[in-house]
Amino acid sequence: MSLATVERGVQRVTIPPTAACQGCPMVLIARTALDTLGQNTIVTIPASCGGWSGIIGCPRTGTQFPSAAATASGAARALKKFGMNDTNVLVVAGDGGTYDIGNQSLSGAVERLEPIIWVCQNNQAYMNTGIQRSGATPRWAWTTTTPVGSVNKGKSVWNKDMCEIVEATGAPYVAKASVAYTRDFVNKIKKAQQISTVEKKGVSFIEVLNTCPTGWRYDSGLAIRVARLAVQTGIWPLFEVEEGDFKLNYKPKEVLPVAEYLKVQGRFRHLTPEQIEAWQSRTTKYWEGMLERAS
Amino acid sequence: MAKGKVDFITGNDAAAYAVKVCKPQVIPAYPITPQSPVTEKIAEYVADGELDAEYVEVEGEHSCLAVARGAGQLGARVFTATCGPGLMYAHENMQQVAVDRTPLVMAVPDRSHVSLYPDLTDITPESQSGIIMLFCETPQEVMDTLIQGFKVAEDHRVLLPLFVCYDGYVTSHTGSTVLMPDQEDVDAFLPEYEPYWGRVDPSNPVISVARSVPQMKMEHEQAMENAKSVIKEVNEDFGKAFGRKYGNGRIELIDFDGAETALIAHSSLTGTARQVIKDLKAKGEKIGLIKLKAFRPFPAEDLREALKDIKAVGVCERHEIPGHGQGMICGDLKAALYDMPKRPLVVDAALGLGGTDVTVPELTYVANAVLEAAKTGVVKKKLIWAPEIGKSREGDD
Repeated sequence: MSLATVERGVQRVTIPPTAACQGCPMVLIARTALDTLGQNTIVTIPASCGGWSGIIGCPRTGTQFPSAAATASGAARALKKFGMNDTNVLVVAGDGGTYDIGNQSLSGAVERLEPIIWVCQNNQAYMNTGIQRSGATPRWAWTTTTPVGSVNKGKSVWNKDMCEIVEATGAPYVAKASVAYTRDFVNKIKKAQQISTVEKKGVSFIEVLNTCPTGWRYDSGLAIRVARLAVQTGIWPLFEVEEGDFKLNYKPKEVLPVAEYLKVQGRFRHLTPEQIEAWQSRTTKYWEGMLERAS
Repeated sequence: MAKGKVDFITGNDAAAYAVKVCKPQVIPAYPITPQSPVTEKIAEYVADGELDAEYVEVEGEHSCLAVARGAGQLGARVFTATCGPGLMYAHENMQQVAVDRTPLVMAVPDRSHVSLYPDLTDITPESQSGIIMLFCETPQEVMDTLIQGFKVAEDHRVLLPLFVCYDGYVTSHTGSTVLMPDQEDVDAFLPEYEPYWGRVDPSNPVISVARSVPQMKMEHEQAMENAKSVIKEVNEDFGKAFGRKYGNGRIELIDFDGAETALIAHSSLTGTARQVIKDLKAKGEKIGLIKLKAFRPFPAEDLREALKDIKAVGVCERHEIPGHGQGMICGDLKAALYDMPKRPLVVDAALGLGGTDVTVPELTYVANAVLEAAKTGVVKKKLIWAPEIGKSREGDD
């Protein structure tokens, strides 16, 4: 499914050009979310690559790095007072604004069941400020604050599982999506709109892997391919959890070895065979957990 | 003239009642001592259906100010309250609310950063943020200043956050007789909020970016400048509607006829200073009292006018900047006086820091130092510390 097919007949809410890096899929993530939701949307973007990448044709609130969920909560409550019940409240945040500094206010908003659609464009580090590690950076990945030296070789610990955290906090809808599977992503945005904007059930949390050519150190033409590899190796399964009901949206015919995904990225070039094996066994366990939950 | 029943309530309850009759649409709230009774009382009003507002139970003050900002940007009337460490935690967003020109009204029962008790350390960071700050002496003044506050903050010449500051515990938790304004009189005084940019309209989008540019700074400065006259106007209007007002809205001259020296006091210190001035006047001393009603924007023009023939002035403030040898009110006063051809001598008194009690003997000691400076033409000690006063009193015994 090409993006062009999805977009036909859709009024654009995002306005080019953007200031994103060459080959950055963040623009696709924000554009797909916004164009699916349409003009009747209030957008909040905390400090992130998204904050600088392009002009948006619907109202946008200013917010601080830790505060996207709280600012969006304020917007949602004001809309409620104004009787504007069909207006979407969308947050497009990076992993820093979701996993780390934005975690507290997100947690509060999820608990309060604020009608917010939260799209986390997760590029697994602070890319906007120059590739520093975040709570979403996977183990052994190189970043500028987890460099590969003679003693330390990349990040020493695994990343958090934000979808699990948000689900456990009480979000009625949690999903993982990918820029390589746009139809699936669009469907998830539509479902989030139904649950958060129409039914006012709480925060819908959609996490999209933002495969970052600049920070992950690979050819800028390969962003979609890397995103597809993440799904097909079981690292980034496409799933959704609607009020506890789990659904696996896509099962690859053949689950590819994790090494296929790792070897194209310069940030993993120093990995030893043992480390790749550890990646494989962790991913296999994770994927089997997905299959089990789906059955 | 507006009427209303009389009740016996605390400063915090007065703040909550003022909020009820001003009808903000969105109220984010997070408890902190000694502010908590404000948020609790408002929660009761909402629970009982007496106040139709979105009450947002946030998970911290930083988020509290972000909720206020989000709702305010879309065009809602917003209120919140915090103090002490809570206000300091909210600092990042507090500044942004000011830069965004969001007319948010806040109750701030001042609390020190070193104790639960009152001093001005909590508003110190915000004193440079371009936020309007009005001091209150009594629960009645808290109520009246809050009602005035919405009208000042939401004025299209201003559009700024506004703090209604009163001493934690001393005013927040002390009961006093208060005239409770009727809803219809407040409605007549305070019209519904009309956002400058209009309510949010997705088909006609406005983008707000959390960055300050020189033009925004310039407009912010102009808004603070405009606030000076708007505060005075609203105070006069309030006087006409409710039969009471607070000086000219920025300062109040108390027992000032024939004064050759003066004390300046803020918040609850004013009440004690009133007694000290009365006692000294009875002894024939030519001293008067200036109540600092507006701290931001600083009433430099009004103070210059009031002090133009005064020989010496003492500043009684619950503040001191370590290493600076004075508190922030004294520093601001000296800057205001600098351009005058003839200016009074200035004595600063750092009192009640961390909320220690300030009583008549302390302020009398300060007043005597001012009288001596006026007599001798020399300020013997520029900064008087409360512990020194205690020591000297022990010596007197």
